[in-house]
Amino acid sequence: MIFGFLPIAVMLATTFLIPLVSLKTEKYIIHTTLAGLFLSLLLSISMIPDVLSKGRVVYQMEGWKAPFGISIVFDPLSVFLSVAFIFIVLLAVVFSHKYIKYKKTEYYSLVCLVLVGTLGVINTGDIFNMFVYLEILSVSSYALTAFFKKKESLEAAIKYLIIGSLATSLVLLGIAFIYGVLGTLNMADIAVKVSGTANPVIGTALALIITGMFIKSGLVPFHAWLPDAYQASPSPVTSIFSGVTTNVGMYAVLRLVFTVFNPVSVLLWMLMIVGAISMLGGALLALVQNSLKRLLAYSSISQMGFVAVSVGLGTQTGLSGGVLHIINHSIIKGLLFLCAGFIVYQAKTDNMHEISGKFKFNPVIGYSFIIGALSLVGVPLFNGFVSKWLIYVATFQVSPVLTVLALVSSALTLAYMLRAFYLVFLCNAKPGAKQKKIPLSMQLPLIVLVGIIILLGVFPGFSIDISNLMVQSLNKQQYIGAVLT
Amino acid sequence: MTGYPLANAAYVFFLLALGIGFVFYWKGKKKTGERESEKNKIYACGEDMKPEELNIPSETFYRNLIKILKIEKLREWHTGVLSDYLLWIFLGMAVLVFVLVITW
Repeated sequence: MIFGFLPIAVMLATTFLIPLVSLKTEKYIIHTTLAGLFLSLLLSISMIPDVLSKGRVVYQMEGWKAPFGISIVFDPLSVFLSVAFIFIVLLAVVFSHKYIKYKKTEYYSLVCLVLVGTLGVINTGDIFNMFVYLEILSVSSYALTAFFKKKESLEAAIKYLIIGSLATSLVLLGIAFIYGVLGTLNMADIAVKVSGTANPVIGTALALIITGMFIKSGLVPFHAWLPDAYQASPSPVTSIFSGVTTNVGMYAVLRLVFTVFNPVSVLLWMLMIVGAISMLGGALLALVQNSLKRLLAYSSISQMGFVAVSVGLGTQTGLSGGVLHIINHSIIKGLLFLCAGFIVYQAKTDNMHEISGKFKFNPVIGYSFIIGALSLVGVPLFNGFVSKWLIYVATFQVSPVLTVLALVSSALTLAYMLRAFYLVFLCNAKPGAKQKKIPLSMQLPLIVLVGIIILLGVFPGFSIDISNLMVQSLNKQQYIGAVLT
Repeated sequence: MTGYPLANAAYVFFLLALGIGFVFYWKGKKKTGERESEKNKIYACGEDMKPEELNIPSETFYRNLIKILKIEKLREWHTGVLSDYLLWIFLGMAVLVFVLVITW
């Protein structure tokens, strides 16, 4: 199964190919990036039949068998997430074509490196390898946050760097504790050895790793870096952050809690509590934001809260809802941040009071934004409804109080998205307001994402079946069996 | 158990509501369309008002909701000072470590 590692290898090669291509001319950078992304996407898609028939495919690096070598593990969870994330990055790169006008070499290389880190974290079977890929993802994200080199971008990047480094340091410390006690870094081997131990050092290690991953996911009270970083980054990058990088943290929590360690009830309770606070806190704070990107950033915190609550329930429906909401949120936020990107590109500000009435209503942007907003709220016929419905059902089966909290958060989502839509699109254009022509490269990603949102909303069975398959991948015994035999 | 029948009912009710909404909109449009356009103008005590002045002031959007829920307080906690944020993280981590070590 040598092809398994190729999507990561292709993206890594593309990262280093871009500066080489730019030596002659910057003209072909976008082509190189898109070619790399397409190839990586095709390779990931080509793995789906294999993974579906076998359930799990394991590639042992250099033939060194687990637990001695590094394992790369492909299962429906990792493969479908890889496909979704590569697709979001691909659309963000298409959008960036006319958006990014300078330092293209650095920009596209860093975007590819973010994807290398993301794919690595998702597909690795080695916990130290996970840390290394998380660092690759983080360092390239810090650099992308500072891309504009404005005062706010640099401040946000430094905050992100310090808080993000604290997160990865905690993860590394946790891994060190695990290695010290169990003497292994292979996730399947840790899963075997951790079952028979009651050492509190393992509890400490798990708490440190989970804290690090909560910081990466932007859950309250670990979220402080997120609004600044989202606001200061270039808009296509923000769509990658919201659609891809924050979800990586949540994936790691899922994998570690359910596959590697035991989903102990106290841990699930912590997930639910942190999730509920994030769900409500993020929505309330989004309500008072004046910056469109900041509003969407707080909305991401709220949506990650939905995922955490759902996953924390630990039931089949809860896990399906959580996993599906990760994918749906990627698609919706990808769309909304790209819409915000165009609005900021046109109005030269992301302050909604300043945007208000500044440009004429544009059907492509306006309708895309409202479809994204309705989907985020969880209105039927859009993909957001499917995952939110699963979350409502799952919470109701365990605790109706959580269902009420989720419904209140959805109502608040409607409130802040309506406010944003009103301020940006419904205020009459002031005299002299212009309407810039939207380049095709900016329209295309929006249209594609709107199409996916409607398709997945109208045919919910497809996405529910996939999410059920993804949840089955979390089975601990099957994971151990596949990696260690 | 994913509550499929209820989800389908939600779809049906939503489509029904959408349909009824469209009927009302269409009927209403048909009636108002016959009226003189002067009748639909907003009365501003004889003052001439620019279209942008007729918008709801955005500062007061959800003013009462924000007041009741004390959201401004939440916002004030976000000071932008890095050391405050690091303190939140350490407190959160301390709770997680404490709970997991005690119960492991």
